[in-house]
Amino acid sequence: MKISNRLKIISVSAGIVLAVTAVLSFTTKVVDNLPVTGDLEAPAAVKEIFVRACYPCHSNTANLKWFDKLPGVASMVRSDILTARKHLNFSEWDKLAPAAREAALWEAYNMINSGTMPLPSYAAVHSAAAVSAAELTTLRNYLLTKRKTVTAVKQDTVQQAATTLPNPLPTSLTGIQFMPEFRQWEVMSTTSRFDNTTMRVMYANPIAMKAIREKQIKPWPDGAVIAKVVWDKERDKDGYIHPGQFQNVQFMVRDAERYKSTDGWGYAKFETKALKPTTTLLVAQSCASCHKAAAKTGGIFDLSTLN
Amino acid sequence: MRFINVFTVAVLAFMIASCMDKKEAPAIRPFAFNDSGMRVITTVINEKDNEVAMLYGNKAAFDNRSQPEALFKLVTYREQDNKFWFGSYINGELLRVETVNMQPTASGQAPAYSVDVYNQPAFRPADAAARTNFIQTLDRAWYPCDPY
Repeated sequence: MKISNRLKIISVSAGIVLAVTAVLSFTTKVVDNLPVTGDLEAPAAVKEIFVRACYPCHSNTANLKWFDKLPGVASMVRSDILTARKHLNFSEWDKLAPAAREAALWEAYNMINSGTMPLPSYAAVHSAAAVSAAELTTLRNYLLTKRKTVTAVKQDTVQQAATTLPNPLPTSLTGIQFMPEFRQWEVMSTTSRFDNTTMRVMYANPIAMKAIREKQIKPWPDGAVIAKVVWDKERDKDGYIHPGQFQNVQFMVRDAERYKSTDGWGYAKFETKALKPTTTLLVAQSCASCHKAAAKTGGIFDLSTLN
Repeated sequence: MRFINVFTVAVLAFMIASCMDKKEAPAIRPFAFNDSGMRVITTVINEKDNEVAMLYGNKAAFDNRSQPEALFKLVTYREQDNKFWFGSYINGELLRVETVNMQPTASGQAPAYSVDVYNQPAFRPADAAARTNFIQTLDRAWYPCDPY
């Protein structure tokens, strides 16, 4: 008799909990879906992939499942969506400049291709978000239609005037001072971008170079610094591509504790020949977010591989 | 029950992903060129042949390209896809190192030109004078910390 009463109490309690949970999961409003002011324009097959894999978080058209609204889960989902929209919102596509739109698409592809996006925890419970190998090919082929070619013409002979560094040396908001000594570091790699029209040379300081040689980059040791110098490309009359207008120097400084919020890397960017540091910390957050796609090499994209 | 299953799957997937991430070591290409303290003067991309070359020079080469102490090395790599960023090519295999040494000009001779070839069995050396001229006349890229 006693057991029967206990069972009854447990059953009723469980029923109440289930009922409350059910009500909450169907009535909780996790995020507001603000108006769509502009939308991605792309071939149907391409757009369908972005809509399915990215829009649930990266747009104002969130269509959440019942389990996304469960108590405890809803707050995580809300946080993820708000962060995602801040980084890229396909429903506010019109607010991006044309170059930024294209950059966003290349980045989106690379985030998907690396398995960084959709977030693995999200993809595990939202099977529709998965992007197949065939769909990645569809995206790649679409992006190749947006491949950039170099049209800037190089003058026959360019004399570079001696440069004068600002005094004091500029410092970024992340506390990283411009390091002219990078010119004495070894070259780590050089890249030629065709998602834009820039070329780059990457330098590694002795700590970073030692880590590369010893394959100790997961994680990179504190004190490792990578410098990246960026120019626009110019084509000469024989078809060779050369560094044209200088764009910026970027630094990544490894300090696992200090830069914990950006995966252990501090980011700094010094733009134009005046070496003006970027004036917002959002840039560093944006760098860190994108560099998650290079998790296999500890956050560094530009390492040559045996492939 | 479905609630438990959904989140068990999520946690397991996250754990498996974390473990795979730690085990998968990147196959980084061994660093192939020792600059011996020389600095990069510029970078040249040859799209037709899928090559990228970096021109290094010693201090004398930066000060005055024609002086006998000047030494240049043009290091050419095959370009390959950047495995971690679709939209970018990166230096791959080292193909050749061409050296121009201006020392012979001190005694009125032509600069000494030599080429070391790697990973490129079909390579046929071009005319030494033409290559020397090509290397010597490559414009310096603008760096914020120059001169040397």
